[in-house]
Amino acid sequence: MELAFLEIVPGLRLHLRGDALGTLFAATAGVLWLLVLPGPRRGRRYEILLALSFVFVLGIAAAGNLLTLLVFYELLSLAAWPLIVHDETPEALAAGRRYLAYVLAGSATLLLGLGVVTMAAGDVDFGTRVEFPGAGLVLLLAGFSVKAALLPVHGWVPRAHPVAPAPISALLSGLMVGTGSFGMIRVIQLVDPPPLGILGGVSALTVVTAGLMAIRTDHLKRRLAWSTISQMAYVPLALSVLHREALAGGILHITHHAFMKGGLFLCAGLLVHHLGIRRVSEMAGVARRMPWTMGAFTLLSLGMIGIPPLSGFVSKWVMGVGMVQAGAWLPLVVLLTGALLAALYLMPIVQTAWFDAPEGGREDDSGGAQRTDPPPLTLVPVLVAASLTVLLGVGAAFPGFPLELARLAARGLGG
Amino acid sequence: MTTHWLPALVALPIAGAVLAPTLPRRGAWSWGFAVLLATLGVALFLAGLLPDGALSYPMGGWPPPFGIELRFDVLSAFAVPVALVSALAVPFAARTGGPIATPEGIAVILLGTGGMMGFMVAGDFFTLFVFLEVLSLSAYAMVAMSEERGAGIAAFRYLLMGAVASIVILLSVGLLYTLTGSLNMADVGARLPDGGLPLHLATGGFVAGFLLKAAAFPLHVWLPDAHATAPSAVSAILSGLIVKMGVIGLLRTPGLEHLHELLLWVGAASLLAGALFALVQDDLKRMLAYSTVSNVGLIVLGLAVDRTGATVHILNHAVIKASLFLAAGAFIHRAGSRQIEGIGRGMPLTTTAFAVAGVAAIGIPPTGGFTGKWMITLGALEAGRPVVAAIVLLGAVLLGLCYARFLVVVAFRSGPAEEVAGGEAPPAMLLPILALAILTVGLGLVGGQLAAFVGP
Repeated sequence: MELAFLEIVPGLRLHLRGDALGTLFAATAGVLWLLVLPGPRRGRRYEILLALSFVFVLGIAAAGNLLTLLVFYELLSLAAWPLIVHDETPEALAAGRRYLAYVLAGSATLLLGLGVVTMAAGDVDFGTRVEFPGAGLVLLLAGFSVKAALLPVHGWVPRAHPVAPAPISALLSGLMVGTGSFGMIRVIQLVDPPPLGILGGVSALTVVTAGLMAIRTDHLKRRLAWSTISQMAYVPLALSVLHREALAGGILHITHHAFMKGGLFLCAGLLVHHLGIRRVSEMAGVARRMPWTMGAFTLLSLGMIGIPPLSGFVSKWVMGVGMVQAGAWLPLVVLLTGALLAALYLMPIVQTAWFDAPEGGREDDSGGAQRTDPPPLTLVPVLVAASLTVLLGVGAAFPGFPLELARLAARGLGG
Repeated sequence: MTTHWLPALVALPIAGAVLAPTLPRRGAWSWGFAVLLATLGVALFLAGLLPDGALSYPMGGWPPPFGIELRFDVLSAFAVPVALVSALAVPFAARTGGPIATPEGIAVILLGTGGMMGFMVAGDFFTLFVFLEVLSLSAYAMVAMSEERGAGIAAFRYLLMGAVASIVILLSVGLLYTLTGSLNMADVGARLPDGGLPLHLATGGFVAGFLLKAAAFPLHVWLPDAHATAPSAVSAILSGLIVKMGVIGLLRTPGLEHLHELLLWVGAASLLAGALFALVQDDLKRMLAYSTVSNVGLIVLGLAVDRTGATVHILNHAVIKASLFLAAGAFIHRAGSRQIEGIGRGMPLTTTAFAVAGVAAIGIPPTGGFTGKWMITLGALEAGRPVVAAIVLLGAVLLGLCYARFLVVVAFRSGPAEEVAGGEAPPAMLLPILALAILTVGLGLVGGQLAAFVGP
C-alpha cells in the first residue's frame, strides 16, 4: 500500500507506505495510547497535543521514505515538549529546555544526514536498496541515537521522565525512545550494512552503564527511566549483530518493552497520585495498601527482567537465539548482564513493597494496613498492561501476534 | 494591453497614500485596506502571467534601453506577499492606536508599499534608486511614529545609516553609467566590461549598501532598536518585507557572481551572530528582530550556494516573521506593556499561531521555513561546503531554543499580565495573525511547486 503526495521540497515528496515493521509499530502505539487515555483530565492543551502526538507516531510508522519519517519524527519531538512540561513547575521547564536542546540537535544531525543521502541517492523510498556515503549513515544513526537514548546523548531521558505526568512518562519510555530505534532499523534496511561494531559497542556500554545507574537511583520514576535507557539499548545491540533473527527479537522488544514500561510508569503514577510516594525508600510495605497496583507492578517487573513465560522473556530469547546463530557471543553476554542488572534494580522495589514493614510514622497516618487501592477504573490500564505481559509471553507464537510481524519485518536484513 | 496593470501595481498604493490624509480619521484604515487588497489582486494577476516569461512595460512608449522600463520577473513576484502583509498590517495598525492609526500613518504604510513595488519592478538602476529612497524614507517615518521610548532615536539612527547606504548605492549607479553609458539593467549587463577597478568599486558599493539595508552582520546595528520599538504592525512590514528589499537589490547587482565567497561568510556570520544575540534577549520583539538578522544571513549565504532556495526563503520568511511580529503585537496590546509573562494563557489562538509560526521560523518540516533552509543546506553540501551546511543547522537549533524560551514566557510563566488578560485580541488583530500562521504551513506543503515557480 502506498500513497505519495505533497512535494514539500524539490524532488522530495511526503510518502506513506504500509509494511510489517510500520504496522507493528502503529499497533503498539494504538494500544499504548488506549492505556494512557484514562485517568484525570488535564485540560484542552494536553488532550489536543496527546491526540496530535498519536497522529505523528502513526506518521512515523507509515512513513514511506526518509523525508516523511523525519518530518513526523520532528513534529512528534515538538508536540511532546508541552506534554513533558505540562505541570509548568520550574524543574519541569528546566527539563523541557534540556529535552528540546537534545532533540533539536538530533534533528539537525538527521537533516544533515538526509542531505548527504539525498545528494547521493535522491528520494529514497523504504523497501529499496541504495548506496550513499558512509557519512550519511553515521549522521543518521547518530541523529536517531538521541531519541534512542544511547550514551552519551541519553541525558534528556532521566530528566524528562520524573517531571512529566505519568501517562506522558509511559509514552516517552514506551514509544518516544522506540522511535529512535525504529529510525535506526529503517536506515539500516536501506543499505547493504557495513559492520556496525561501534554501534554495538555503544549499545553494550549503554546497557551496562544505565543498568548500574538505575541500581543507585532512589527516585522511582528516574530509576525506571534509567531502566528504559538500559533496556531499549538492546534494540541497537541486536541490530548491530546484523542477523535476521536477532533483529526480529529487537523489533519485538520495542513492542513488548512499550507495554511493560508503560505499565510500570502508570503504576508509579498511581503511587504518586494516591500516596504521594516518589522514592523507592518510601515504598516499604506499600503493597499492603495497594495490593492490586503493586501486584501489577511485580508482574511487569518480572516481565522486564525476562522471567519465562512473560513477554520480556520472549523478546530476549529471540534476540539471544539470533546472537548465538550469528556467533556474536559478546552481545549475548551483554544481554544476560542487562537482565541481571534489571533484577538488581527492580526486585528490591518489589521486595520492599511486599515484605518490609511500613515506617512507624506512616502507619499512624494511614491507620495500619488500610487498603487504598485506586478506584477500579483507574486500575484498568495497569492491569491490562500486566495481562498483556502474560498474553504476549504465553501466546507469542500465535499467528498475527507481534513475533510473526517482527520476523516479517526483519526479513529485509540478510543473515 | 494587459501589461498596463504593471504600472498600476506601483501607482495604486502611491495614489492611495496621497489620498489617505484627506479622509476622516475613522475611514482611513478601510481605505488603506481596500487599496492594498486591490494591489494584491493586481500582483496576483501579474504573477499568474509569469509562466509565459517576464513582463516588460516601456513608460510613455519609449522602448528600452532609452526610456524607463518596468519589468515584472520572478523576483518581482515577491509583490504578492508584500501586498498581502501590508494589507493585513493596516487593520492591525488601526486597532493598536497611536500615530500609526491616523490617516497620515496609514498613508506612510501605503507609500512604503508603493516604494517596494516600484523597487521590485524597476527595470533600470536609477528608478531602482528612486524607489529605494521612497521605501526607506517611509520606513524611517514608520519607526518614528511609535510611542515607545527611544523610538525617535532609533528612527534617527536608522535614517543616518540608511542614508549612508543610499549614497553608496547612488555612487555605484553613477559608476555603472560612466562605465557602460546605460542605466537599463539588461543593457548594463550586456555592456559590462570584463573587470577593472571601476567595475569592482561599483559592485562593491552595491553589495555594501544593500547588505546594510538588509541588515547583515555587522551592518545590522540599526535593526534591533528600529524593529523592536516600531509599532508591531510596522515591525511586521520592516522585518518581513523591507529588509528583503536589500536582498532583492543584491540579486539585481551586476557582477555579484564574483563575490560568492564574501556573501557566503558574511551570511554565515550573520546567521550565527543573529541567533546568538537572539538567545540572550529578554524582550520578545528584540528577539524577533535578531532572528531576522539570522534569517537574512541565511538568505545572503543562500545567494552564494542556491539562489532558488534563497528566493524561496525570502518569501517564506516574510510571511513567518510578519505573523510572529503581529502575534507579539497582540500579546503586548493585551498586556498593555512589554510585561507579557503568562499572557498567552488567556489567548490560546494567538499563542498557537505564535507557536506554529515559531516552528516555521526554526525551519521544521513541513512548514514554510523548511523549504528554503533545506535547499540552501543541500546547495552548501553540493558545493562541497559541509561546514556551511552544519552552520545553517546549528543556527536552526539556536533559534529553536529562543522560540521555546519565549513560548515558556508567554504560555507557562506567571506574571502581572496574567490578571490583565481579557481573552483573545480583537478580530482585526487575531484574523491577520491566524491567516499568516496558516499560510506558513500551507506554503511549506507546496514547497516543491514554489521552488519550481521561482526556479530557473
